[in-house]
Amino acid sequence: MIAVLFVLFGFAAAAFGQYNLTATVDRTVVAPGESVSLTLTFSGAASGISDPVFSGFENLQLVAGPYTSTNISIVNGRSSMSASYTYRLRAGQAGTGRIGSVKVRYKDQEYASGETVIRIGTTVASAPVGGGGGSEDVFVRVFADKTEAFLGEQITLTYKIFFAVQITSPEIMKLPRMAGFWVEDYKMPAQLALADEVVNGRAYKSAVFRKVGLFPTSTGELEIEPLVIATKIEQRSRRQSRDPFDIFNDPFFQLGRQLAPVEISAPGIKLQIKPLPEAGRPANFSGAVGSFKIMSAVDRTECLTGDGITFTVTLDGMGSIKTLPPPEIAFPPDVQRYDPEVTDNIQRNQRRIGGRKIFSYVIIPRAPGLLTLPEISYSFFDPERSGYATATTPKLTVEVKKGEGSAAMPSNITVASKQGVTSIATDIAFVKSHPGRRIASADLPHQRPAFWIWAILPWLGAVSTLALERRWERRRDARTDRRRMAKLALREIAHAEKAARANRTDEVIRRIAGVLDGFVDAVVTLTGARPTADELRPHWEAGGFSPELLPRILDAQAECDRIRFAGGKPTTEQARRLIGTTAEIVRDFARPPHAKGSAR
Amino acid sequence: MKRILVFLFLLGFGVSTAQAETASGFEDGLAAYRSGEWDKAAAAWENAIRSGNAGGALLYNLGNAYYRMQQTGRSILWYERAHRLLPRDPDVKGNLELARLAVIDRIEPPVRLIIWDWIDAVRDYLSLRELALLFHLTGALALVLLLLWRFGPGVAARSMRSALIGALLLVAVAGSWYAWRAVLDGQACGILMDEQANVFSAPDAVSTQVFTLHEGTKVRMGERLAGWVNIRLADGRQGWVLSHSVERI
Repeated sequence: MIAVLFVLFGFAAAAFGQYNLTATVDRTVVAPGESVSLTLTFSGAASGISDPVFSGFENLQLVAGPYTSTNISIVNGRSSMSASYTYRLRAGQAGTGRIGSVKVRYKDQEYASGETVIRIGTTVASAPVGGGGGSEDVFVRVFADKTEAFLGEQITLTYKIFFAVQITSPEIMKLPRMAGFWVEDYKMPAQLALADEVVNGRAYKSAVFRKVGLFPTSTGELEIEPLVIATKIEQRSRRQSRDPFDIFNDPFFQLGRQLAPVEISAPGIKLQIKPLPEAGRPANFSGAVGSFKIMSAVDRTECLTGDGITFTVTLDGMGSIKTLPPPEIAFPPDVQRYDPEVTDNIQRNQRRIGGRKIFSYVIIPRAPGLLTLPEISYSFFDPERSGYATATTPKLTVEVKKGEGSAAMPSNITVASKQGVTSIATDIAFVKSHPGRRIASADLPHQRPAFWIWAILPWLGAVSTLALERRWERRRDARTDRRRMAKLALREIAHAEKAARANRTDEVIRRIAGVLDGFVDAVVTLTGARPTADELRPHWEAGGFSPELLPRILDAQAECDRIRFAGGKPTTEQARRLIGTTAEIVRDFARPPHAKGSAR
Repeated sequence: MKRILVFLFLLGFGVSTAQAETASGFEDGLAAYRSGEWDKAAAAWENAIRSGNAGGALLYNLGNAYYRMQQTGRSILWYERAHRLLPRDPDVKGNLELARLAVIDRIEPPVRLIIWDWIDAVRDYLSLRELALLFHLTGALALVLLLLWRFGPGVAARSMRSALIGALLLVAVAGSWYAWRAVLDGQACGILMDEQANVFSAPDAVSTQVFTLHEGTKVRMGERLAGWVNIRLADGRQGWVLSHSVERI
């Protein structure tokens, strides 16, 4: 089945007629006695090819081969076939080795390869080069395009690895600390380009695996530390015996390759950085080093007040773009502007690092008229010419017309276009200058007795008031009314005395009777009883009145009645006597009972 | 009698001397603060506080002095104390907020309905001392109305009675508001003083460390044991920390 496929493919390939024989070597520079492998590739067919015939070798010896292999691949629907023959050759003495053209025969057609030339260098046992960890087989070197530079001037460092044996891709284990420099890495291609070089008479392959642009930020002697890489070296035996049977021991034929990991360090480098010269330094120099052009542009040349326009300033050139200081721009006073938007475009694939730095300002003109964006000058130090230079942009003008909003206002009113008050900073409020109310102690109020005293006080007051009130109610009957009655009675007696002096004895009697009746009335009102002497007594005593007053009152009352109903005018003497008795009774009545002595 | 008078005089004298001392300490601190000598100002004010009669303004000033010295923990502590006495003062509230910005720990309190925030705002509107005064005044008002009611000449009894009932309700409200606020003020809250404090699960440095707190964080303090204190965060987590790392508000 497969054979059928082969034949079919063979026919397909034959139909196209693409046959080719090429001879390649794995190395073009070798040391004497080292092996080179030659591969002959016949493309277009995989079988039916005659054995290759060599025209001759110069300074080379065929050691082993051929080892054949066929390759059939189908890529994107297109098939390709090839057969390859590999031979091992040993280099002779120093000089040039030549492989003459090789011929094969296929389908009665002869195909020939070109001649191959190999350079054979001299072997010298050399001391290890390129720092610790390296050996004569593999080492790393670092090259600086200059060892002296101005502050800010670019120094390019190239790290190259030289190898005389097979190695795997180097991996950087330790990046050197580049203190005092701003570092920009160059872009490295995905596949490192190999070059052939001879060092100390030995052939090596070299590859640049790292390239950096250094921009010094401080002056003096600065040192770049060694860089350390890790790689794996193919183990090679150094036996160069001529025993033909040794070919079986050649590591080339071993199924597995033995790889030994190694760490190699590139040497450090000392660089001398000079400060920028004072002479010729422009006043507005802000620290830029390199060579630049400056351009400015505005997106509109006409606008209304309150519109935002974009003013763009671009710095273009070679130097450390990221660390370029911004240009000083003296904006006109009556525009509102905001902090610029800064964009960096860095080119890393030219000889020198460079690019563009774009500053975008948004400005809003507030007053109508001709707005002039001033010319901007940017000073920099050009290390290639060792001098200062200044780039300038021209003035730009923008015509600003009055915006819609202010058109309706009459012209003799000033209207400010309002803007928010932007906070510059926030800080704590200032201390208080007056101590204010003081507190007596740090305790909480309810932990101090004063609190509870003040809380209880109203309740105590209320309770005691209510309790006392009741007592007063009772005493009122006995005491307050008594005094009140006595007051009224004495007033009546005073009237009676006056009447007596005026000899109006009727009046005297009448008034006295009234007073005396008053007592009875008191009993009647207070106890609700109807008086007879005997009936009166118990009530009198029950009313809390002094018992010995009652007979006196009744006697006096009887006397009064007698005089009143006896007819005729009472005598003055009778009147006076009556007054005296009654007054005495009244006074005794008014006095509290316990002040009285025993009953008479 | 004479002895009592002498005692009262001396007491009054003593009080006024303390007040005079505080006043001069306040002024000294103010002068030092104005000339930028924060530490001198702080020392003068702390002295004034120690001699008694510290008002809210003094506590607030001390918070400012510590803020200027960039001691976040102490400044928050004094601002919180001032806030207890002057709950409505905008300077105190503003500065406390600004000082809290410097606290490293962010603790999320559990989410709650906004009505609780309004209720808390009402509760915090008056300071505890103001509430005590309010409570006493409402009590006095109730007493006055009672006396008027019972003994007042010719006042309508019915309206008096309703007025009295109203006054009693006011007393109840004032009393419960005081109690509510007192519970809040009575809770032992503290501020962390150490730049970094390790919080453990037990009062023992060899137990598991559960979290780390930084200066200025407010915590609730609980039980104390053998030089350690139990603290609780706003999100409910709790642990033990060395007593001297936390100072009570």
